[in-house]
Amino acid sequence: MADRADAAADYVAVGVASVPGALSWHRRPASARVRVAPVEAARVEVAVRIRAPAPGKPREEPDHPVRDKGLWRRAALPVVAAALAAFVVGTTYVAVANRADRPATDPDLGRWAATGAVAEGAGNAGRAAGDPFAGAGVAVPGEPTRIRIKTIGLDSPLETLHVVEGALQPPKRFDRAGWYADGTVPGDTGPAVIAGHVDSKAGPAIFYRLRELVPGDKVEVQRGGSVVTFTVTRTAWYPKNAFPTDAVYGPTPDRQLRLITCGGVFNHALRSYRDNLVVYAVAG
Amino acid sequence: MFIRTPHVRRLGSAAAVLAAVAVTTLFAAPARAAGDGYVRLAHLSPDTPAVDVYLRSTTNEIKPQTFKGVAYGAMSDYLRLPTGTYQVAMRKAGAPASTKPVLTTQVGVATGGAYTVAGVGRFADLGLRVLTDDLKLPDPGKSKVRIIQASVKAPVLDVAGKNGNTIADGVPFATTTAYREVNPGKWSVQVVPTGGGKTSVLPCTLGAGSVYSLVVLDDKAGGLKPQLHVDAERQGSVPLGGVATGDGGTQPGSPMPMALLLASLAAAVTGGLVVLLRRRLRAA
Repeated sequence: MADRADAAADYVAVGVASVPGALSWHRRPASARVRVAPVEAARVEVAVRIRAPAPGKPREEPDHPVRDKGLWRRAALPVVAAALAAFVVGTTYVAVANRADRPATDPDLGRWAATGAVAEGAGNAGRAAGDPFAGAGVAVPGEPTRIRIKTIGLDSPLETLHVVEGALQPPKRFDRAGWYADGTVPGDTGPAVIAGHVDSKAGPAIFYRLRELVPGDKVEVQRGGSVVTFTVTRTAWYPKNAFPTDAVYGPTPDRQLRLITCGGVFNHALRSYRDNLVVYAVAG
Repeated sequence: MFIRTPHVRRLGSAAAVLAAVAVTTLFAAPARAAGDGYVRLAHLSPDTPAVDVYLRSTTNEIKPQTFKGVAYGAMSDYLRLPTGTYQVAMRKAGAPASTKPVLTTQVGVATGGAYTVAGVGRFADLGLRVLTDDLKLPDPGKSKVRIIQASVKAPVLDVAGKNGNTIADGVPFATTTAYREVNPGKWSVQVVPTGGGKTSVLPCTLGAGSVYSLVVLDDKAGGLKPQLHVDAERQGSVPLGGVATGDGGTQPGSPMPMALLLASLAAAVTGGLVVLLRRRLRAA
């Protein structure tokens, strides 16, 4: 194999060197011819040696012994060279394309460029100052109509989402989030769910910047005439095929909210993201 | 293509170190915020007068809290607390905080854990007990309920639905049953002293996927007073898996089609060139 590669290198070298010069190979300078000569001579010698035991056979074209060899042997060199070129060009293109897609300074970094301190005291750390023995929950009337997250400049009306064939359907529109209307209402005890698209085919959608949320950020849900405020407690990425149903949809002792969108590796064949981003928030 | 093995190995270890660093930085920050659990407090000792309950963190995670005048039968809402160890102390109602508490106990709060710290038993042998509350999602289409027996007038009792569906049999005073999955819907829970006595009925509705504690107290009139507490709640059916919230418009297009095209072009050109060159070489 190595010999063959060397031979290929010789051919290429000769070809390149001669192209700018004479048009014709017949009148090539002797010096160039010398480089190829040993290879050719060796081949002729091998061919002769093989042919020696059958002297009775009429000789055909003694000047072109290569023609007698198998088709694959003649094809091997161009095929190997072609495969090599294909590999080099293909991988180089992929590498260059990927590098171009991930610039050193990501303009989408947004607020990450300057991350502030993580706020604490979510949940009823504040409410506990009141009386947890009072028992009466905060009853908020009306359906949720709007979600606002100031830290990522999000303000969206809410559509209603339902479960179809077991799975929660995403919002119909890309510029609008939706709440799971068969589940807990945001502001009631339990895990309320609001989902939104991260992007459409054209570009970023309503929940594109959801990934920038950090614990302590406030999420406001308009419900009737009042606003229920939630505080982000944590964010988590899950592969969709290992979605933690219990953590996201399981019962909770207090008023909670989950914001869900997509992310991670995008599967071009399935036109689907591998992961879900879940932002956990608690009222207060 | 022809990278020597030591280089590959070095590259591998460098990648491993990078990955380790990335993992630590990614998970170090949210870890602090992720740690929250729940604690609620209860007074379940029939002949013990009202108490003041003191809650403090042994590692100063929260400001110390005091709940004044907690009487028999009272059970607080859950307090959301950072993980850690907490001390719960009870003093006679109105007693100065400097006096020695009547009872103290410690509760270790794990991430996502829920605990009920209750004063149980008769006044003579009063104790503070830490109950672990299992708020995990019950099986699909089921509710979870347990009995907390705090009635000394019916030292052992049975709990069942009106239609005869048993919830628990022979529950002794000052004990708590394990959670049991039951069918959701309207219930007419009947509590009756084992061996006969006056039956107390509690009409209630259990939600699918929600978790309840039925506390049986002594009534002032000499009967039983069952109370239903919601430990954790949710509404609606549980969606399966994740949500398809993205069409990939913000993701770079797949470089593969173009890479393949370029690779095949390169293969054709190189292969053709090699064949051509060789032919001309031979012809010479």
